[in-house]
Amino acid sequence: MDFLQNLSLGFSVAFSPINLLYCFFGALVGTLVGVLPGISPLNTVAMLLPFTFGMEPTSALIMLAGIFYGAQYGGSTSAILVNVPGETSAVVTCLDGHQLAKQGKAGKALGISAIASFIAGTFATLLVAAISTPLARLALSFNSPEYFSLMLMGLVAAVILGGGSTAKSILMVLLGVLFGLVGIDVSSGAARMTFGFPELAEGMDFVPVVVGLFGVGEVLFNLEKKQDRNVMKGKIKGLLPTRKEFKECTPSIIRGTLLGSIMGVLPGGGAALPPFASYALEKKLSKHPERFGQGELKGVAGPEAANNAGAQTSFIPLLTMGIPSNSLMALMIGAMMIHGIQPGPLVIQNQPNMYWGLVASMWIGNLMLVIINLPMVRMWASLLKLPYRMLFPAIIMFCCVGAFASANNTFNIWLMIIWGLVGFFFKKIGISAAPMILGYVLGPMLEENFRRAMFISDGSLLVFVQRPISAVLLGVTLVLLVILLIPSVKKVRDAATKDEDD
Amino acid sequence: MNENIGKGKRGSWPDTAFGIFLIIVSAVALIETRNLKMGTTMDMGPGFMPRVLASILGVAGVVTVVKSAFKPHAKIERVKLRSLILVCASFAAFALLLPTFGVVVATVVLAVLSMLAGEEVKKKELIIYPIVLAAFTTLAFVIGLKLPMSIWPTFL
Amino acid sequence: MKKILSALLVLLLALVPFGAATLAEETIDSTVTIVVPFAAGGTSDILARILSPHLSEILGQDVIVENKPGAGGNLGADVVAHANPNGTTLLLMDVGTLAISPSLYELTYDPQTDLAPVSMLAFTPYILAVSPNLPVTTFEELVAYSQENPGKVNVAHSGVGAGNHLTELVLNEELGLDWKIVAYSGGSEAIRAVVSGECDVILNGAAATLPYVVQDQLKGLAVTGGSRLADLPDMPTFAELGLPESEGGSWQGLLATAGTPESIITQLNEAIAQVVEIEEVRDNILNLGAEVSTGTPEDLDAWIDENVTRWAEVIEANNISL
Repeated sequence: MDFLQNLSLGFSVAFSPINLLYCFFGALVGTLVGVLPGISPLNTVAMLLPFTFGMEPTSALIMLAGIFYGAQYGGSTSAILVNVPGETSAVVTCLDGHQLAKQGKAGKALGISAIASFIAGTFATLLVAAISTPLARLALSFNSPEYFSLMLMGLVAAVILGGGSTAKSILMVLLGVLFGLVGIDVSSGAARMTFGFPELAEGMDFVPVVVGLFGVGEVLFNLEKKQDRNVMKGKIKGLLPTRKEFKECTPSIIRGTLLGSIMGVLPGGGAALPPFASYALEKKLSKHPERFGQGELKGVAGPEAANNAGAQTSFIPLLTMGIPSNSLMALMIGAMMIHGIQPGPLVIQNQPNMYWGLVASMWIGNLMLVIINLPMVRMWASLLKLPYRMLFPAIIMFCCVGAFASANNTFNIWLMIIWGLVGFFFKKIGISAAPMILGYVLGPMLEENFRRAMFISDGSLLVFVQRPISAVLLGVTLVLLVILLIPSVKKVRDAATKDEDD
Repeated sequence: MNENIGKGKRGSWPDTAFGIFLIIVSAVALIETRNLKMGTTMDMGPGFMPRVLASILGVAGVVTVVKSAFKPHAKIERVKLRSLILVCASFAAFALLLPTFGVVVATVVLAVLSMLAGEEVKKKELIIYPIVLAAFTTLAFVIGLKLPMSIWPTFL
Repeated sequence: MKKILSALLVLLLALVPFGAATLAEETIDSTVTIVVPFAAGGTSDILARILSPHLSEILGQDVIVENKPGAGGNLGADVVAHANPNGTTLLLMDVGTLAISPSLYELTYDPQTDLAPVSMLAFTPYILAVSPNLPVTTFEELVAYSQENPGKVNVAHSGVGAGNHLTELVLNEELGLDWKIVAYSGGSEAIRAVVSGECDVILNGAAATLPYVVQDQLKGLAVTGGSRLADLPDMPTFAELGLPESEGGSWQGLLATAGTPESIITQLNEAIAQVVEIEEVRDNILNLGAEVSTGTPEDLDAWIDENVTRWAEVIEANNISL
């Protein structure tokens, strides 16, 4: 079979000592930058790019890819331990992962995240090898109406994700969309809500917003409490999930993997959506949805699998069409071109060694990551034994450096302070900021694609239902809305009757 | 605060605060986008989405505030101004000092200010820890990751 | 007495810099920072990273690349415009963008007077390409098709106010094509739209567009610049077709802060001339889809002046305001 032949070719390339070394180096560096909030793999890949000039293109790409998926592993570590998501994709991991850490189960959370990521990574690698070409063709048939419908579906999923009141979640998503609109409008070029700051012309940077909301907000909130509260109490027990816990999480991991694999291929939402969608799905399917947000292991396993699978499959549009699904993939295109490789459908034919070597290295890299990460779980977890008074100045320093590094600009530190205060405020009044982030990421794309679809169709709303994929996506959105509304109707009724009992 | 704790008391302060937040955001957004073209649903201008969103949020804010008065009582824990101000000051100091004074000075000031925000301040730590942090920042970020920050004050 | 002495001292100290300037030719004496006003990974960024190690060798100083993205490149340009004029803070960017900015934005610096040109570096032409579904194979057919289907031909560009957007406006206007010009966020988004058939026509940088044309995912109709592309010898140039904007494309240039001593500008210009002679550098720039195109500081100065005026006219004629 072609598939097996290709994979064995890939493994023979990837297993050469030099490529193994670069793969390991990439995964290690990736984990490090992933753990450090705000230091994005994007910056790191850019900084390491010049060092790849003298390398074989295959080795270079293997190393750069390693940084990317290594960072996905590392990002969850800081999300779980200090509630700071290194990447959009780790926002969801904060929700239950950090709760687990607070309960002294940081090891379990880190363990299940590494295992889920590995399983997802293995599956996604096989998937990349098997179906990259047909899936890429599907993604290519997406036009503005499809993107709009996809984003809309994502936002509705975000509402389901938000704990507590549905109404508040919807408002938070809308707030996020509004904040996302800051900056130059793609369709007209007009600057919106920039308050005269040129730094805001391209929108509020992602890093200061999330580092502020989650990292700084958390620090400010924690400082209010008596400081016997370390990030977690007692001894770190059970560094690995038990057999029973693992068994319980297996279906979540499988679902997360499938979801992530499919969504990773789609440009645009690819980076942010899979973990959110997986979390919403797990919560809906769970017999105990109330446990989510309180330290539910499945709430870590599913999204982590989705995240890693998505990271891997986002290489599909890049490798088969040369179309990047996110900014890091755009940088990978730059890296390929520096080495004289024009990304596109011909890469598989003309450079089979490179293509299949890269695919095989992804699996090897994932294996290495488990080996790097599992023993280090103990090291990371022991970090939490530090008293909080030692920990938080370090977190504050990381936040500052991260915000600065996102654009080499102190403006982003000021922006982070504002978002820190907002995050603190939301914590004080008990509202989850996670749905807002998704609104913030997807909102501008939603508007852009809606306006473009309308512009091209001369103002006909029918385009959204005339195109089959768009119609299906809208249908799913509608079903989600109905699911969303029925229990909430019940909840409102419950709350009302409770009030009367009072 | 005591008089608020009583049976049958109404008014959810967190909801009121959320509503007021929404109203403020809405008002600021409406003012800031007042000069943008509105357009129609069929042919949106740049002002359409932000203004529609801001209006919805504003109305929702008013509704939230009104409804919060009839909800079961809930209060907001008092804000500890001391730690809030000190932490914000440590960020601000870092942002102000970094460009001219370099990363070492900025980190030391950040660490000292933020450590003062903690409840328990130990003199020994206050001297040693900032230096440890500054050394780590310099090694990891400036020397290791080559972030464009100067280590020492630029005027030296 | 003391007062007189101290006054004398101040006077002496004040004279020192002048003395130094006249005594020896000033040269670059500390670490050089090349500011790239865009996020890492773009053409300017990669070009800066290709040049910097070699530049460092020739100048005998460390050369670091610093990304300062924001405000369409104006944030980083402003930093260099207001830097110490000693040649240690340089700006590397698409100077076409620099020439368009004054007509679109309220700037905190003047690209013509606050920056000192050092040298042009590289040029990437535009390719005009159409979706494979469009029933045209030459530019003449595209013109005919556009005129038969007024308002029906969708033309993609990478962002309002970008060089390719303005060039599309000029073509549309001067050839009377009645195109529907659609904005995308970035070149790769715009290409995707044309490959998938959402849009029909695209004008975009050759480096990013060429692979799609070579692989028949797009049909290339014309290219800007002085000569045909080696990879597509059958595709005519804009000049051959008699089209306007035949020199359009992305022009990467290097600039310093205005007021930088002549000797330092010359030193930098000569260093660049040496660097682009290195075969490895040439190859890397070529792989980027660009060609080396250097010149004197005066050449770059004239180029910027000419383009500022030209784009101002186009922008005013098309009533573009942000």
